Amino acid sequence: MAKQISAAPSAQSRWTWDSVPDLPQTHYLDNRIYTDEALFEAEMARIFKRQWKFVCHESELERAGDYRAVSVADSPVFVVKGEDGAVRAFLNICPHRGARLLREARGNLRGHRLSCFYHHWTFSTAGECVTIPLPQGYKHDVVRPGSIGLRAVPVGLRHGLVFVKVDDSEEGQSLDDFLGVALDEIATPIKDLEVFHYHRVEVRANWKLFVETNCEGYHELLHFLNRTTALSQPEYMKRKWLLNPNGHHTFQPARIAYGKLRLGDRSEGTLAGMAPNMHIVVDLFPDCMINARSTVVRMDSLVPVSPGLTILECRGLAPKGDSADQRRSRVRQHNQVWGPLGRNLPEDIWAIETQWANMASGGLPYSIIAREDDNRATDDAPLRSFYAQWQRLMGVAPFNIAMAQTGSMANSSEIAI
Amino acid sequence: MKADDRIQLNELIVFTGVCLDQENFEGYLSSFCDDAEYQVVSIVPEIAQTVAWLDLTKPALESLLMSADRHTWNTGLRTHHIAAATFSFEPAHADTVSSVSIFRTDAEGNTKLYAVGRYYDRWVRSADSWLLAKRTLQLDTRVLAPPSGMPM
Repeated sequence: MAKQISAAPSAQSRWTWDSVPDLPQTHYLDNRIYTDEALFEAEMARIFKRQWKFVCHESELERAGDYRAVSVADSPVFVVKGEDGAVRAFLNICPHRGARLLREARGNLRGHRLSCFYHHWTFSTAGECVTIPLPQGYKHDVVRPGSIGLRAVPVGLRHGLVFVKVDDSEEGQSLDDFLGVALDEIATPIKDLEVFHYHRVEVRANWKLFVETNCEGYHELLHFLNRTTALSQPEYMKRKWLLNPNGHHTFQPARIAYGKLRLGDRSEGTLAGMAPNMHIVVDLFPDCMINARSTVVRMDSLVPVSPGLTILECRGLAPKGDSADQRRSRVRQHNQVWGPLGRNLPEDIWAIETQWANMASGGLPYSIIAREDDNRATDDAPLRSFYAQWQRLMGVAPFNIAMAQTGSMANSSEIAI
Repeated sequence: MKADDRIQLNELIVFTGVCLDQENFEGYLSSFCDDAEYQVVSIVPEIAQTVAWLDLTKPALESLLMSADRHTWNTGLRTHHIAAATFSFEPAHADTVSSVSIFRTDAEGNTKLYAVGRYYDRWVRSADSWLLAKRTLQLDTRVLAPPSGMPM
């Protein structure tokens, strides 16, 4: 018997790659959003500098004088705990001649003073200039301790997470307004944690592609671990995404079958507010992704470097006060999935690096984000929610970057910042 | 006797690297005693801690290796270059420290240095040979690109 061949799709339904997909505009993406240089610069200005950005966990600032130096959209920033216990943030730039004040990623300021290595101007943890060497050389009042200081950056803490907003030139949302209810579901599990793990990955892909891996459950098919322990669970497929204001998402709790991969049981040491073997995900727009797997928490954030290069920062967190055995168990459970040698994280990176390489080649002009399943696990609704917020902030249509939000066509290289 | 032991341990250390390069996981696992531990650690200045990146019992190591082909890791070809540096002998065990460089060759034939570190190994006697009781790989490299779940 001759093999039956399916009829070709009708001309109306066939997608020819170069043509605009016959889908609602919310259900596909112009892949230039991942590769366009001008758009990337606009993202840094409009999103990463103007939105609240997670930079570290408060446990990294345990003692007075502890600091963390970070980069937010090319702006060098440090956060520091003062003698008064307050956490403040400043540009990591000396107001004198622009030298980098803190050159290590972390440390403690001796005597709660920060001295610029170049000309030894010295500042308090409140940002005030307290010493200028050889002051007799300055004849003008503006160059006096007390009349000059560090450039403060708005900072806020919620549930142990430290956020900054580098560009506060426009009146924007308060941190509470920005977060809204986004952290409610995970507030109890992430209470009183400390960082025990940190690693970075240089990902050769656009930052949004990594965010997307945490915004949809469909790609769990990529992971042997997730196929076996998550997608195989009927309960997992029913879990829903909650789409919160400002592009934040919560992936409702579900139980994971770790035993199916001989990964051990997680019924002991369960975090407050979680059931054994439970998994919750919270995504904070634009780039902070929090995963809690019953006993341990992963917190990822991104440092976009260029359209095709992103620094991924991965933290692991566990409750303060663990015994040595408890902590070792949690570290093992963290690394099984999320460590640099884990069973999950390297696969996500490998996948999006192949995506970006193909998008950069121009081989695929559009991506499809058209899954609809009542916001259940494999629905693309969180991706659409993310890009709705992206569009609000960027003023650019993600389905056609040449189209401004008003509908008029614009040259992507002339995006006003 | 110690000279023979040094030669034997050196060959065993190199053998573990060759096993990983050739994905001879059974051979690799045969180098470990039943209650052995395998760890990858790194000193992480961002949080001023020595961080465990893998901390496996032998059964957990076996589980990881035996499911390696079901994962989608971009490992390419790997080559472990190992140089045993120091040996110390006690009545019940031997300790060795070796430097290791791991190179990765991708599908296009490009070779890059993937990771650098040291093996801190504890060996116990087994009949006329030695078995690993504990291997700790301390990595100097903290950014693995591309990362993979494969032990080193």
